Amino acid sequence: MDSVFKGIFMHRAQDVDWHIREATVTNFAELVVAYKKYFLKEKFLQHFLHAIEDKDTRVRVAGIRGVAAIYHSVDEDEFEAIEMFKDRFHDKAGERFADNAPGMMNAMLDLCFEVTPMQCATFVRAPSLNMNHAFL
Amino acid sequence: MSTRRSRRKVKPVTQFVPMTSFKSSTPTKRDKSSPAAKENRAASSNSRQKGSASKRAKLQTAANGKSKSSTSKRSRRRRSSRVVDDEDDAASDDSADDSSVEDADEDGGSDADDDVVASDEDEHDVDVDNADEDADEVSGPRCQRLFREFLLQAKPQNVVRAWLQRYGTHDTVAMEEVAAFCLYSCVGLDAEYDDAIEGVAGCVEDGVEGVIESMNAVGDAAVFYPLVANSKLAHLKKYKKFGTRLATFWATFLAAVNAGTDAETGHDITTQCFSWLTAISSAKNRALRHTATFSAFALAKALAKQCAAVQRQLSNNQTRLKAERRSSSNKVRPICHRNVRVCAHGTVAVSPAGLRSRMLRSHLSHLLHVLLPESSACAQAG
Repeated sequence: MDSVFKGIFMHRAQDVDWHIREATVTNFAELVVAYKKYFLKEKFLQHFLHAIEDKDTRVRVAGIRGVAAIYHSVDEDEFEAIEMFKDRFHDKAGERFADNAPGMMNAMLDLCFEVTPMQCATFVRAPSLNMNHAFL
Repeated sequence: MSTRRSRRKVKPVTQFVPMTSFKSSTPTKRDKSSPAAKENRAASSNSRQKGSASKRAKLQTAANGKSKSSTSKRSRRRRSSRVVDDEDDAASDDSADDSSVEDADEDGGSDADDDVVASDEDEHDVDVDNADEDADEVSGPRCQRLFREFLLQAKPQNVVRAWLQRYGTHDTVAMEEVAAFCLYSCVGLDAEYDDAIEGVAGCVEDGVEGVIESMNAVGDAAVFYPLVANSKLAHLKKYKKFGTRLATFWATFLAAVNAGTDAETGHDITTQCFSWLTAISSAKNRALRHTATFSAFALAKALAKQCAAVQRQLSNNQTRLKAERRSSSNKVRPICHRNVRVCAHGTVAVSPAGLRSRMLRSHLSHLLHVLLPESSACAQAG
C-alpha cells in the first residue's frame, strides 16, 4: 500500500495531464474509503488539500467529491480522529463556494450533506465568502 | 434452429484467435471451395449417408456453389464496412469469426439434411483451425492472448480461470501474458505498438522499462486509447465500458490468484504486477501513464478491500475469543486449584474470596467441612 502511495499517487497527483490528476485523486479517495484503517490519517489526507487548490476545475471537483465520499463512510469516532485535517479542509473548502466552475457547487452541496449543520456553517463563514445571506 | 444451435456450440465463446493465426486460418476456411475440400466433403457425406449418397452430394454441391458466391460477397461487404480504417486485428478477427459462423448458417439454410453434414464438416474445419492456431501461437503474438480474451469475453472470471490454468502449466509464459496485458490495456490492440511490445518476453525478469522506452519511441499516437475511447465510434465499440471492465478484471484477478495459488505465489504475482504498473505509470506516453495509474489503483483497491475484510474478520474472531475465555474462566475458576491449596500442616486451605460464585463457595466449604472437619477453621480464616 505504501508503495502504491509513494510510487504512484505522489507522482501522478502532480502530473501535467488533468485526466491523470483527476483519476488519481478520485481513485485515491476510493482507496481511502476501502481501507480506512490504514489511509484515514493526516499524512494521507492532506493531499486532498492540494487537490482542491488545483489549477484545473475537474481536479478540484474530484478533490471535493473525494472528501465528501470519505466523510460519508466514516463514523463519529473516525471523524474525530481526523480533526486537524477537518479544520484545515473546511477553511479551504469554504472558499470553493465562490468558485464558479461547472460542477463545483454540486460537489460542495454534496459535501454539506455529509457534515453537520454546525460544520457546514464554518464553510459559509469563510472570510473570502460573501454569501452568508444565502444560507443563514 | 437446432442446427444453428449446434453450430454455435462448435465455436465456443472462449475461443482465442490470434492475429497471425487468423491470417493463416482464413485461407483454410476459404479452401472449402478448393477441389480437395470438395472431395473431402463428398467423401465424408458418402461415408455417412450410404443410401442417398449421390443425390445428396449433388444437392450439397449445388447449395455450396450458391452459398459460396453469396457469402463471399456478403463477407467482403461486412469486412469492408466493419474494418474501416482500423488496422486493429481483433475487429478483423471478430468479423472473420462472425462471417465463418454466418457462412455456416447460410450453408445450412438451403437444406435441413445438408445442415447436419455441413455442421460436422464445419466442426472438422474449426478443429483444423484450432490446431493451426495452436501451432501459430508459438511463433505469433502469444502474449496478446489474455488481453484478447478479456476483450472478447463478458465474464472476467472465465478469463482469469483460464489464465490460472495456463499459469499452472507454464508460469513464465503466463506472466508474459500479464505483462503484455498491462501494456495492451494502455494502448489497445494497436499495430503501431506491436513491435514495441514484442520485447515483453524478456521483461518478466528484467522489468518492463525497456519495453516502455520502445513504446515511448513510437510516440503519443493513440489519442483515443481504450480508457478514454469514445465507444460510440464503430471501430472502438469493443472498448465499451473499458474502465469498469478493467477494474473488475483486476479485482477478479487478485481474488483468483489469492484463492487459486499458495500465499507466497499470490504475493509474488501481485508484487510483480504492482512493479510493472508502477514502472508503466511513469512513462512519457499519456495513454500508458493514465491506464497504468488506473489499473494500479484498481488493484490496490481490490487488495485494500481484502485487507479490510480480513481485519474485520480478525477483530470479530478476537472478540469472540475474549468472550469465550471470559465465559470459560468463569466456569473453570471454582474447580481451579488456585482457590484450594494444601497448607503446610496438612490441612486444606480454601480462599473463598477468590471464588466468584457464592453458592459454589458455600457448597465447597460445606463439602470440605464434611469431608475434612479440621480444614473448616482454615477455610474460615482464608
